Amino acid sequence: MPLHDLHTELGAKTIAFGSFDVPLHYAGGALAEHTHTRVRASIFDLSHLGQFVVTGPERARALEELMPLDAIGLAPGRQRFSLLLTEDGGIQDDLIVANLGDRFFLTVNGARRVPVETLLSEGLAGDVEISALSRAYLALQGPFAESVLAELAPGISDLRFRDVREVAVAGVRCIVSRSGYTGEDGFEISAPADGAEAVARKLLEHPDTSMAGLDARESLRVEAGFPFLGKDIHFYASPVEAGLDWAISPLRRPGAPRAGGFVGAQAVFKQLSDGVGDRLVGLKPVGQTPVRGGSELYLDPQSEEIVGAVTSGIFSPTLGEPIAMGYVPAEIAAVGSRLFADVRGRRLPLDVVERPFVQHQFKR
Amino acid sequence: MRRFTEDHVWLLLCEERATVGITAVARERLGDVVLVELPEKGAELSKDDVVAVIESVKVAFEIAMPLDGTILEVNHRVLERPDLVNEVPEGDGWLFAMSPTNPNDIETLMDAIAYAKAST
Repeated sequence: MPLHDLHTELGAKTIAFGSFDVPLHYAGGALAEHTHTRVRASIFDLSHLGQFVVTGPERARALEELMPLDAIGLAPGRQRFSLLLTEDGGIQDDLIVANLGDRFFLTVNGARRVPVETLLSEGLAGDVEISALSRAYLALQGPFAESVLAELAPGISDLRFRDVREVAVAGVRCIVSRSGYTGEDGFEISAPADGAEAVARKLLEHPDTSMAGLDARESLRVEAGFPFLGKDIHFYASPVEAGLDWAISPLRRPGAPRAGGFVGAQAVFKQLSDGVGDRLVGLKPVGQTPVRGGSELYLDPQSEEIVGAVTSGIFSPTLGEPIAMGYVPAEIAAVGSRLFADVRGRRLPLDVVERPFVQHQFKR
Repeated sequence: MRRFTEDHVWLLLCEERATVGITAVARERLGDVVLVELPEKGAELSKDDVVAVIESVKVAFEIAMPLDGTILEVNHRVLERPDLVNEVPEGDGWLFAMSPTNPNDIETLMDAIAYAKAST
């Protein structure tokens, strides 16, 4: 990681992720980092994520062959969330596609960096090329993110949610988007590997900032109701089941001008027309005991028939109570449905609730 | 006498009463504690039964009974102040006290030196 020295100085506890040592938390602990993100502004080093540029005259069309995205209509300076599907309509990756004018800039899950590069380089036709970037990636998230960044990047306050532009941050040329995975207002900053430490240290000079790691990122995104690849979404989850069908652009749906023509289109259209068996929902355990990912779900305390499973479950620091997400049968996916989770041999009640658990603060 | 288990649980035996908690090593691995679940006073449990659960934001840490025994008392303070388990896991953050069915069984657990070696 480009910020390795900084992590060591700040007492980071790290986890090995391929060739990266990614901070889970720093000396102050994940709970403090979580809270700090909701009340001030935290800096996350996410340099393990995959960053790519796609170039060539037909790049928009080429991306549309791979994803259910409206790339042709994506204006310069804007970005969108999209999905890479399998032929069976499962989710291979969730990613961000940004239009930088002369190229597209993609940010993908760290765990999918290599497969996505292979997939894109094989799948992009003609003169369209993809190249992997070795850059750092920082997220600045929280209610004070704008005031912090505005001191180092003039004009940044003009950005609205999902705007993206190339701008100097503390004199270093970066790609900055107004976006994030915590539910808070904030920015994501792609910086050159050799300039990233200077940017991070400059951001840290501000009294309202401190570093935060992946543990806080995880609890923040669950509170925000966002699915995580590998837990809540994966190859066997369809976008319709996962509640991510909004990412299938209206222009790519049956009957629309550029319907289909992306990997997994047939399978997804069948899911949209026929419906799906399960749905990813928010779940609220009734007591104070957290219900963790992997817990099986039942319709009543005595039943032996597993009807679903929890995929993410935490104790919410913001709410002071447990929250979870999981898959339940579509017939009982309505808010208010009561289910029972197996927790250490006991059947604990929980209810289907709306997501997010903590309201989003995006500056639209 | 103080002994330890492989799961980073300490046990302090004084006459027939053994106080139990987690070690600083466990605390490091756990992160911030948000909730503690303790056994019922009077419960009779066997070695390796799940006797308590320490919840961090992300994960549940199950504490196994270090020996067969009966629960004498639980530390109510950690129910209200789970952060005590973080702050002083080997002091005020103790979890419960038990009466071992066979006090001599404590000899089967690791002493401080063996535990220190096993924890590196």
